[in-house]
Amino acid sequence: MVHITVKLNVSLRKYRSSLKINEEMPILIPSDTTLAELLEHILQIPAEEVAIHMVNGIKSDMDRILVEGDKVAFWPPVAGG
Amino acid sequence: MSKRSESYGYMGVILRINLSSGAITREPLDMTLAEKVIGGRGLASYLLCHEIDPAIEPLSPDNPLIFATGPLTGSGAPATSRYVVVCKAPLTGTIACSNSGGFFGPELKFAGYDVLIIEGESPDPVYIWIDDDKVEIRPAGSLWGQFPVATEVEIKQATHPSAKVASIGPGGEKLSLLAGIVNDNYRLAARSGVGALMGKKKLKAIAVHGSESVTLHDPEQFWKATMDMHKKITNDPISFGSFRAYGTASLVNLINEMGAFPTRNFQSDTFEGAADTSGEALIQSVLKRNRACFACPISCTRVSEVTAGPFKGRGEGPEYESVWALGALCGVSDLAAVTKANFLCSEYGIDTISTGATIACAMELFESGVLSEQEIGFPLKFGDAAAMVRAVIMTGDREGFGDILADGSYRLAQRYGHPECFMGSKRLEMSAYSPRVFQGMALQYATSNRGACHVRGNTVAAELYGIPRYMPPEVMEQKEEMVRRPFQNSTAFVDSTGICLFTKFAITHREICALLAPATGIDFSFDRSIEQGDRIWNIERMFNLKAGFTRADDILPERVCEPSPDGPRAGSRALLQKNLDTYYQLRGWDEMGRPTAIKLKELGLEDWWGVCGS
Amino acid sequence: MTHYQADAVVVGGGIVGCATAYQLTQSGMDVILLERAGIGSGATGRSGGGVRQSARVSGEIPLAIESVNLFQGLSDELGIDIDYTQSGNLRLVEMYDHRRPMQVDISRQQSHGLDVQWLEGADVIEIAPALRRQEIIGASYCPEDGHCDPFKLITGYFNRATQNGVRTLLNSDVHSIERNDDGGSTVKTQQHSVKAGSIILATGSGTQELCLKIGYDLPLVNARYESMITEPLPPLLRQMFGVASSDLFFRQTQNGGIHFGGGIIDEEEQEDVRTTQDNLEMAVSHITRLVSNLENANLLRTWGGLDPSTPDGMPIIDMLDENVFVASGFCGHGLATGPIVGHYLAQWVIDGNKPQPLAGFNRNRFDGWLQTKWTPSGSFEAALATQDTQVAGKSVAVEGVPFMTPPDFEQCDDEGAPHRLVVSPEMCTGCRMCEVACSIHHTQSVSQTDLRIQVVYPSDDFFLPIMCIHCEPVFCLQACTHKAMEQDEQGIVRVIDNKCVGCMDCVKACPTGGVTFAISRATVVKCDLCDGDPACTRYCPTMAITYRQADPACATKYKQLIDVHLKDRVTR
Repeated sequence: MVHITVKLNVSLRKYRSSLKINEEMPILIPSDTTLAELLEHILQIPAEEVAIHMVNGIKSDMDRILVEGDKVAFWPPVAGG
Repeated sequence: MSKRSESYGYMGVILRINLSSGAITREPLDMTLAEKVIGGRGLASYLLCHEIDPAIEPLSPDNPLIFATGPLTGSGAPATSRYVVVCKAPLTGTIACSNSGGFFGPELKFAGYDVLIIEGESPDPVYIWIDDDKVEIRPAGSLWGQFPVATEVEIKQATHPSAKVASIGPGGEKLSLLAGIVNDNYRLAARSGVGALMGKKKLKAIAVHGSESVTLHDPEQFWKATMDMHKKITNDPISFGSFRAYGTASLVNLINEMGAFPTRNFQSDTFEGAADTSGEALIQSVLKRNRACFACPISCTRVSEVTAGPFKGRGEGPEYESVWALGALCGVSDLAAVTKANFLCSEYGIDTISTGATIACAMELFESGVLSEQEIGFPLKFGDAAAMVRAVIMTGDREGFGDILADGSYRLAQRYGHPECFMGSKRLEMSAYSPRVFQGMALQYATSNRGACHVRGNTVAAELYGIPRYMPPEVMEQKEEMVRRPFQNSTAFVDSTGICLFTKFAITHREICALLAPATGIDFSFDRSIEQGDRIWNIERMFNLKAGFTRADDILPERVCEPSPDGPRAGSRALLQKNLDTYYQLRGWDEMGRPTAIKLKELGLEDWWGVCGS
Repeated sequence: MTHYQADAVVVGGGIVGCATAYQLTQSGMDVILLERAGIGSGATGRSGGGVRQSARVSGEIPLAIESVNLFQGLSDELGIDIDYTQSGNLRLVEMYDHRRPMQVDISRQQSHGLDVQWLEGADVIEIAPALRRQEIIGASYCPEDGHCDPFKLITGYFNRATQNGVRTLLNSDVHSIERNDDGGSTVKTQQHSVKAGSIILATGSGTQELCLKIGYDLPLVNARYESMITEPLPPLLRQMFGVASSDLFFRQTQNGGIHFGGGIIDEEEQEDVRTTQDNLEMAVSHITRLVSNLENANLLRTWGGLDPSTPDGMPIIDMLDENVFVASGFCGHGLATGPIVGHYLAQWVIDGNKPQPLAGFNRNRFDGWLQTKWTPSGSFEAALATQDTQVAGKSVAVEGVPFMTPPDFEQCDDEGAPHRLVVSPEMCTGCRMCEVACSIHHTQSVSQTDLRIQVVYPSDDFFLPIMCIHCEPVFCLQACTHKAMEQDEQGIVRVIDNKCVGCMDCVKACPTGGVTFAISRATVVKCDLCDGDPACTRYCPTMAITYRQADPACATKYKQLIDVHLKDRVTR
């Protein structure tokens, strides 16, 4: 098992409504868990609602395998100007 | 001259007002020119090049203030509210093109004008009242010194209750180089100091009321294209989802997570107070509701209020850039203070980005001991919310040390012998995307024709959201072409049509061209739109070259070319020089950044501008 | 027939019914409890006794956590020792293939704030030495879970409710429910007729049938659970046990008996509570494989029970009709959540507002996918399944952002009424797209003068389109002295262009500002509803203007709005 933290941002926080803005949620996950598995089976957030996924501040592929200490953050589609 | 019957989309008339002589004249719009440079930004830039010698002093009577709409402004297609203000920029000395939405631009069209050129200088404060064909220069009287909201109320009472007003606040009156032009109470054509020129002309406001129609060449086809675009926008999760629900400030946490959120005058790229000033926090604390510009489904405007405490106030915003400049850049994480500072910027009519950046620069100079408490009047430390708000007021009033702040961070840093503390390019302060992280943005900041700004080529769309396709921010390859074509040229095209850039998350040139053709009856094809964008960019570039800018000005501050000190992207830095030569080549410019004769010929610009290039 | 009257009638004497009745009387309500057999005779008395938070679908976790907090003080509150022990719940993994899915499922539950962890086989044996080491790969372990005696639990609630004055009618099978004019209901059994303001259906396996009678088809399927208990044995097992990908559960009761069993969904035998030899044998062989020294234990008795399941593994707790509540479909694990459900349900009945913790249990979450086969997501099984699981549809609304919630038309829709424009000013952003659409439709240009609809801005955060709403009485038509207006059989008023002289009498008469003088034509113009397809409604991005069969009361409301906000001339 590896320790990671997860941040859910903007509208995605509705899936864990107790989380504060920008709060990191620590979770222990099985080794070799991918970003996709984390999203689908552990967090159970519909993939189509997520536009940007970052691991340690870097946009990552969904098949990336998470390792100890990774900081994961998800965003719905957002933009600014 | 009323609207010319043969023009569709366009009103066909340029209104020229000379404040020195009081002369008011109307000229027909040259439709072949419109085909070449469309309208708005393109048309006004072209006109400016023909009106003046780019080498003139910006705050001189010879520098005209050009308000221009595009053929789609007021056409009622989605998000067609934009107008631009073009002149030689008081802050930067480059060409200025500040852009704003609301209802003023469409009203100018409804009054029968595509372009309004204001020349000369009035000896006394005046305002202009345009009611269709009736145009008057009226004494501003007690309006001088008023905030825009009060100005609007008073002018509407004196003119027409439905008049639309663009005015300057005290910032513009006092020739602050940070001043913009305020329309519809809170919206600013903000950057480059265009408000200072309006203040120099002693022009407090322009009020417009119109009763004419924007006629369409093929209403049926136009409506079809309009509904098609409407559908695309209202189905887009960004345009109709996040912009509407959270506004632009939903980016705060995202850019910060990436370690690309410039903090404390770009000394760091992550801000510990980001969550407190995020779009989500804004919803929880100050947001009252959203509202829209003319014909806009997106409705990103935040109507907001700080209901209690020292920062009590009501207005619109703050947007992402404002939250950043008045927040993270100054190290301030108090959202009420940031919101208040944003309201104050609207009231004084000064640009939030440059104002925040100038205060941040002063904060750094204070903390490093260059500026003393005595000089400023109080300690101006990073993170001090009250001091930041106080500095905004002083800047707006040009009171005490604010007199120096009002001229922007370039002059501030120069004055105190620390030019390295100016965080911008061509004297314009950078925006809220760290160029250490976004290599495309680095190139954009350095090459943008109005100085370091994000909206001339918001490459973050590609480097983060993946629009039109994802290019990782750190990658250098192909960024030159990306910056040039799908961003800089494309934006030049969009800004010239009168449609808002925020639609670009949902639509492409094709949809805009599909509107332009039935609106105007002119063959605006996709291929031509690419060429038009390129042409407009080169016109602006040539203005700058004639104004004395060179390759040496296509630079970034030393600080961002050094490794980022902390955060997830620690060690990354702007690698601009690698890209610049390739960028010039792709643009068809010589190694000094001048358009070649071949390029000018290709763009059809050789006849009227033979001076530049090799 | 005996007639009764009460503030509320609770139907069903199980844990949910008794807990709700008790909580209602705690607030001073007069309550009658109807039970078709005896107290606890349904699923409650036949349950496994587990009080767990772990191994639940995500939507239930917060409620379960809250319920466990309640359980800790329940013996004191009910004045009876309910044999509650918080000794933990172990969900055993017997196969290597199940190890990772279980770990994933544990992470899921952790992400909902539950203290649950993965234990390797050796660590499981450490805390549960009676298990056979060779059979156990590992387990999910939630230390704050536990078990209790369901009979004592329900007895406690029932006694307290009775002390508070609840009148109970046993052997009373409800055969009809009638709505009364005063908003209350009358519940009838063979012998009784009970009139009450509110009615709460906590009817377990009888819910489907009863709800059909009052016109609600809830997606409930009864499942049979079979249990048995051994003679008292020396202390062997402390925790509550479950097994991944199996229905087997077991625990040792306070007096030493090993209580174990499992459930099967068998739609053929929905109403059958008998036990079956096959199932019992399967359970026996399974538990003896896992737990040592059970081979020689004697079984004392076996029993079966029914509990309704829902497609997503969560109960339906909802208001079916005004003051008619239902709480059912606990899917075989309602004992643990029963007390908290009773608490919130009573709160809902009393103050009329749905408590936030019950928000996720609406019946309308099944709208549209009742007919599809559905794998519960948020469970070990879902993590195990390789195929994609179906998820609930994307919500249009954005929580916490009021203007991102589509307007609620329930109040104004009226199927008998003619189509009219309905304005929802809270959705209006002031964009004037309605004006544009109207103008292009009627004048083929974007005109500023011939506006049939016009947005006004009474304040910086309130905007309102003003137009003709084709109201009654027809002020404009009555005011017109030139016969320049006509009304069709739909009630739509149109201007007859060649008769209008532009005298403006109608403009002055219109209460909404819906008739405008068009300078370019020198006549008045007004909305004609675009022959049934109003352009404004098609272009309005936020549903601030819609075209619908609206109750005339909507028009009255709209006029009042205009009265309030447009008293003085309002600028735009």
